[in-house]
Amino acid sequence: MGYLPVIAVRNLSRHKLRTLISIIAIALVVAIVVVARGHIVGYLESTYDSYINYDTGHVKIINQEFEGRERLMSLNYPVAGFAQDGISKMKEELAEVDEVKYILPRIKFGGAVSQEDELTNVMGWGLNIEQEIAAIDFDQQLKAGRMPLADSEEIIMGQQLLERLELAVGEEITILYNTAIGSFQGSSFEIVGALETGLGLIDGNVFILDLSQAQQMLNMSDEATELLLIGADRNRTDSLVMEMDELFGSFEAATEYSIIPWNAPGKIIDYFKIGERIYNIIYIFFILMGSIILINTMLMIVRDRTREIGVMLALGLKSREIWRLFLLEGIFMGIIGSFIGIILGGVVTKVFSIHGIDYGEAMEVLSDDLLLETVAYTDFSLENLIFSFLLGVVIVTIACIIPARRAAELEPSEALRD
Amino acid sequence: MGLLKLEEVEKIYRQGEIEVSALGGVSLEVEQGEFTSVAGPSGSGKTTLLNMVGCLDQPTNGEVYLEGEGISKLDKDQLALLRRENLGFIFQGYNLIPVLTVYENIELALKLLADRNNKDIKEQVMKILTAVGLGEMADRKPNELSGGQKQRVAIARALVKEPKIVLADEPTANLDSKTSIDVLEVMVEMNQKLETTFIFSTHDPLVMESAKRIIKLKDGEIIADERS
Ligand SMILES: Nc1ncnc2c1ncn2[C@@H]1O[C@H](COP(=O)(O)OP(=O)(O)OP(=O)(O)O)[C@@H](O)[C@H]1O
Ligand SMILES: [Mg+2]
Repeated sequence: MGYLPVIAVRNLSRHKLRTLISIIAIALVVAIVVVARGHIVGYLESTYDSYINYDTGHVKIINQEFEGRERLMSLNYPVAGFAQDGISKMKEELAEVDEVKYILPRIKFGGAVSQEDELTNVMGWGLNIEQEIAAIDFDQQLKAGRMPLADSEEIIMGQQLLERLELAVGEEITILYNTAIGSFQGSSFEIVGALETGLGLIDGNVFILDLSQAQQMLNMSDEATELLLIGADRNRTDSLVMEMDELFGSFEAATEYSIIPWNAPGKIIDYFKIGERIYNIIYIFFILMGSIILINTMLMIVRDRTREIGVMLALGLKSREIWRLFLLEGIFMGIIGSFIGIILGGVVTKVFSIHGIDYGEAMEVLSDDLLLETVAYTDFSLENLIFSFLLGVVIVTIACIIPARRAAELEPSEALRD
Repeated sequence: MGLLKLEEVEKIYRQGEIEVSALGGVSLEVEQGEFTSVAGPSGSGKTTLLNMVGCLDQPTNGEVYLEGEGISKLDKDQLALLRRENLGFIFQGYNLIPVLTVYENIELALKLLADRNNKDIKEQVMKILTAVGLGEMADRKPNELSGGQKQRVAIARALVKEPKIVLADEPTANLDSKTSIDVLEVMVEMNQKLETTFIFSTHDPLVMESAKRIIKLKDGEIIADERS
């Protein structure tokens, strides 16, 4: 039954301008979808990474009492082992679990820097530097200098924070803080590096020191405020959580800990995920809008070719074949339009994936609270192009059912009277 | 049983409140090989009658029998298959699929039928094209042909599948009288050679005369049925 596609393809060049306008309309909406989706996927991916790297890990283990009070940075509800016997032993147990690749104990605490009557709030992160580098390439975020050495009085600071404090790498700084037993203290550090993650919350507030140094000065020997677990793949977090539940269930005292996956319901990432789904619906509506032009064109075509349809019916084509003929014509336009669309959109996403879009000022308000990057890099991926192409073709095909049905519903004698 | 039989065929068109009776109880029989013209003034029901015979439309009352089989019980698809296999059509003006070449237009009629291999198809198409005197024009598009040539292609397409009946609704109305006679001659020749049954409608007395049987219609009724 090869004649239908032949006729459909040749029909495309009958009204070149009409065909062209329909194809351009589809190409434009598909291109917009490619760029918009690349932008959103790119931004969300980097946001997910930011949260996983700096906030949640794949799974975060915290003291149940600590949950919901993270912002207060209290040191009174630490992670201190399955039987309060320290995190070293806990880490050994955790390392036995298949899904666990990295264990990152962190201490996050509040502090202040006093300069000529002015007090600047800062946030200290005690990290196991070596493991952080292995797990999340922390050293890649260094703008200048080097990472602090273990058990040293060295720190690195966010670049924006350094600028705010009018300090530079190589200089000394005294930071004030409360220890876990409530005594107010100050320590001096050498700034050995500047950190630039692109995340305002970190770059503008955080200084980083070695974990054991932090444990020592905060009176939190073999403790942490949180324990992040990184598995092989964030999409396998469910099984990681299951294994954790099992492991924690085997220790009686371990019930005081919360096991929180990065995408836990009700947390910020969950909202982003809902947003992602909403956007997918918006893309569909968008392509439907472009399809309206195509539907219009096709309805005109059906009207123009009514008599021709009559002739075909007289020849003995069935309604179903007339339907298929017009659907094919629409599908061809959909394929060509979507293809041009992903090329256009692909070029634009490629450019923005290299250069990024700087939201700078606009993001400043949010970035104090959320781990959002100020420069967005679009995601240039084959997956996005294929997704957008298929979405274009499928929706155009569905849209073409309307005019194709109009053609197929014609009665032979009526069509021939035209 | 004859090839074609109409029994009290009525066709009433409804336009909102108004009912138009296009055919008012027409009965007739046509035998294999007849060359029949349907004549009558405009609005007399010629096209309506041909549409009934051509299974392009169903009668409001009465029945059309093709080789003894009533068509009123058939659905849309079955009617399409019936047309595909048994009926050839020639229309007044617009007849050919413009995006297909002369060859492909004729080929399509055969391709719609099952069980034909390509070699047979090619042979048959070229044979009929030569018969209507257009052997050289196989690769042309319809818009590169004159009106008379187009009608010859339409005749070739109608005949290539060797249908039981060829129906032609005013096939010469758009042609000048000389071309009309040419086209008519082709039809007569094909009727004699292949013994295909032709039923065509016309206003043109000249065209009418070439038929062996003339059915005259007026206001949807047969007022005369003459064989010469
Ligand atoms: N679809 C329709 N709806 C309403 N009335 C119709 C329809 N088709 C035909 N008629 C009416 O039926 C009658 C017969 O029409 P028909 O087309 O069969 O005449 P005709 O003899 O072929 O005329 P012409 O020589 O002008 O082609 C006319 O009065 C016409 O107006
Ligand atoms: Mg008519």
